[in-house]
Amino acid sequence: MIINKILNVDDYYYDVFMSISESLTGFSVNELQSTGLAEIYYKHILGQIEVATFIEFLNTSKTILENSYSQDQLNNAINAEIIADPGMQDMSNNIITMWYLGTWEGAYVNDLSYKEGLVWNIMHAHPPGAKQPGFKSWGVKPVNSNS
Amino acid sequence: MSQQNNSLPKKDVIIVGTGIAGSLIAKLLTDHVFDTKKGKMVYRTEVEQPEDARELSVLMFEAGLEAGLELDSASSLTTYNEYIRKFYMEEAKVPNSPYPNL
Repeated sequence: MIINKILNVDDYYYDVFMSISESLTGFSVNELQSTGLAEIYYKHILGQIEVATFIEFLNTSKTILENSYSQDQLNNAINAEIIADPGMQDMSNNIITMWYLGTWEGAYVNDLSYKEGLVWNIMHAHPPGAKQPGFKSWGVKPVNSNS
Repeated sequence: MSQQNNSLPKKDVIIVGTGIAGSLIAKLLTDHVFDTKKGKMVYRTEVEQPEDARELSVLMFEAGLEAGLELDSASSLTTYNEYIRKFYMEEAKVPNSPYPNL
């Protein structure tokens, strides 16, 4: 898996963070970037936990990403190296939660993270009070998860 | 012996907050008068003897600009944005979430 270099961010680990986020969340790097919060989240983690812990996670992620040549390989490597390891799993859970809900350990990262949470798209909903679905949206039938 | 303060006459009803609910309560109350003959509240128009009717005295309290929007457009936008930001940052989003704790 090639880690795409993202311009204007002079930090190699940031690219690792985005690439592993892509695998952990199931959203493409472009979709993650379009929340406008990628750099903010990255910096937020750096400010919240010990840098060494975060670097360790990123180094593990980097190894996984560089040594996986197919999606299956990558999935297996993530299962074995990240999900199976309690410390790594905690970290990945926090990162997934941050992308999906916009919160880090229960608190919103900033005032945008609520409305840019990925959870709203997944459940075909909208963040109440932030991104209104628009006129006549009440005429659209809810998504049926059983169909 | 309590010192009687006559500067503020005694009120029958005190309404705290002049939002939608407070205003509706005030309207409903002042649409009625107390009929001393019948011993109950009646509609203003249903009073038979005007000398029997007693007006209600209603006092309304309002926190004003501390909780509400400023009346000039520049600062009302600022306050509005602060409310929005606070609402987005609150973990539990309830009707009172946007407003400051007074």
